[in-house]
Amino acid sequence: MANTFNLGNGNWAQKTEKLLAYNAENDNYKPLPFDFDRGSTATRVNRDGLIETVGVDEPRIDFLNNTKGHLLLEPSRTNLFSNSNLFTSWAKEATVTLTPNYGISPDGTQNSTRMQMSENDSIYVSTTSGLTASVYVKGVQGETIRLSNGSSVIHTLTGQWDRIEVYDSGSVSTLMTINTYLGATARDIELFGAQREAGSYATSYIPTSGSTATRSAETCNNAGNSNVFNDSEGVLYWECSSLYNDLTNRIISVSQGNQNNTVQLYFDASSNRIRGTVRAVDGTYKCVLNYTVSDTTDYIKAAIKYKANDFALWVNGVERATDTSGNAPTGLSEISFDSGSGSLDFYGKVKDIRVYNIALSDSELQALTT
Amino acid sequence: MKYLFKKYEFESQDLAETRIAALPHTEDEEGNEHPSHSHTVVKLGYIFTEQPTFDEDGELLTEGVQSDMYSVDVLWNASEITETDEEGNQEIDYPYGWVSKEIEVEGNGVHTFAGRNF
Repeated sequence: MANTFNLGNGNWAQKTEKLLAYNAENDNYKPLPFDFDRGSTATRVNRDGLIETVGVDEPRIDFLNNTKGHLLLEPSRTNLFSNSNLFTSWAKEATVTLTPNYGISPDGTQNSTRMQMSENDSIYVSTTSGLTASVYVKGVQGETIRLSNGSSVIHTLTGQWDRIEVYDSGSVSTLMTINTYLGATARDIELFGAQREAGSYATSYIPTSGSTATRSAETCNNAGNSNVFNDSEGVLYWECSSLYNDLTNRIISVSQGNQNNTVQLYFDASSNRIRGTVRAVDGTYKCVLNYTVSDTTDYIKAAIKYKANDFALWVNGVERATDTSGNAPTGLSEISFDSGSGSLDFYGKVKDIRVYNIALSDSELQALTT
Repeated sequence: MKYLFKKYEFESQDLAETRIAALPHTEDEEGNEHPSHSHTVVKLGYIFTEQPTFDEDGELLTEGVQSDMYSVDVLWNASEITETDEEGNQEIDYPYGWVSKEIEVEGNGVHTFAGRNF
C-alpha cells in the first residue's frame, strides 16, 4: 500500500503557523505542512500532565489521557470569569475559609485555593443561563463535592485534580456554587481554574486576570499537493474523537480547494454519526455513506475508500456502508480540517490521519481501522 | 500585523447583529449559513456598569445597571480585509459599518483575547 500522507500517530512537529504532516514513501520523508491559525493564546496539557499556555498561532498537541498526544482543535470560547483563579472574590457563607496560593495546582505552580467548610456550606458567584461551568477540584479520595449551575453534579473526589463541569440548559440559573449541600461530604478541598462559557460542554481552560478572555477558533488547512493525492482511487483514514456530540458538521476533507471534488470524513449533524462523502464531476455526483457509533467522544478509527463504482466506509474494523456506482473525484490537491471551502471547521481530538493513493483491500482496511 | 484587535459599540443589538451577519458566510446544502471568515467576533452585549448582587439562594438583592450601547469585540484576521491597489500598496479595508462604531477604552476593558492586550 502507498501511504502518501501522514499526520500524528505520536509523530508530531509544529511551530508557529505550521503543523507538520509528511509523506514517508520509500523512507524519504517529505514535509507537508498545514497552515495553522489561532489569533489568541490557548492552553494544553503537556507531556508532564501540566496545563500550559501556548502562543498565538501555535498548534496544540495535547496529552490529556493520551501519552502519544493528539491535535486539539476547538471553537472560539470566552471565559466569563474576569479572574478565573481568584476564588477569594466569590461570595461565601460565614463558615467557609478560603486560603489562596495554598498548594500546587494543575499548572504546576503554588496557586491553588484551599476551601475549608462545614455541612451545607458554599461559595458562589452570580451567572446567567445557557452556560457551562467548570472548575478543577482536589480533595480526599472518596469524599464528595457538589457543583451547581442551574443543575448540579455531586462529584466523588479521586485524590487527584479533577475537572468538574455542569451545563445549565434552563433559563433560571443565577448562581454558580461550589457547595456541600444535600449530603456532600468534603470539608477540605483545593480549587483551581474556574470557567463559565457559552455552550453545552467545557473546553480547555482559558486563564483570565482582570477581564474576561476569548480563545479564538483554530483553523488548520491546506496541506499536501496534487502529487500526494490520487484522483482515481485512494483511502482517507483518521483516528479522532469529537469534543461533544453537539450535532454539528465537523469535516476533514481532501479537496481541490472547494466542495466540487472532495473526499470527506466527518462527525455530522446527526447524533453520534460518522459520515463519508465523495463529490465528483464538479459536484454533480455525490456518494454519501453513514454509520452511527455509540459515542463520538470515544476515539473512532474510520476510513473512506474511493474508486469509480467502488466506495466504502469502514469504522472500527468493520465495513459499515458501500456504494457500487459513481465517479471518482478529480483535481484533489489539499487536505484541510474543514469542508474544503473554508466552512464547517473540524473541532475535536486528532490522533492520526493518513491518506493512501490506492484503494486498499478489505483486509487492509480491516487492519487499518481495528 | 496579522491580527487587529478592535472594540465597537452599536446603538442596538439588531444593528450589531446585522453588521456581523454581513461578514462572509457560506450556505450548506440544507440552506444553513456558516461563517467562512476567520475573524473572531465576541458579542459582549449591554455591559453591566454596575453588577447586580444576589444572596446565597440566588435571590436578587440589587439590580444591576447596564450600558445602553451594545458592545462587540473583534479580532480581525488582517489578510481577509487587506486591499492591494494597482501599485501594490496594501491597506486595511474594514467591512461596511464598523469603522464609525469603533471605540477606545482604558486597558482591556471588560474583555480581551487570550494573550493579547488592547
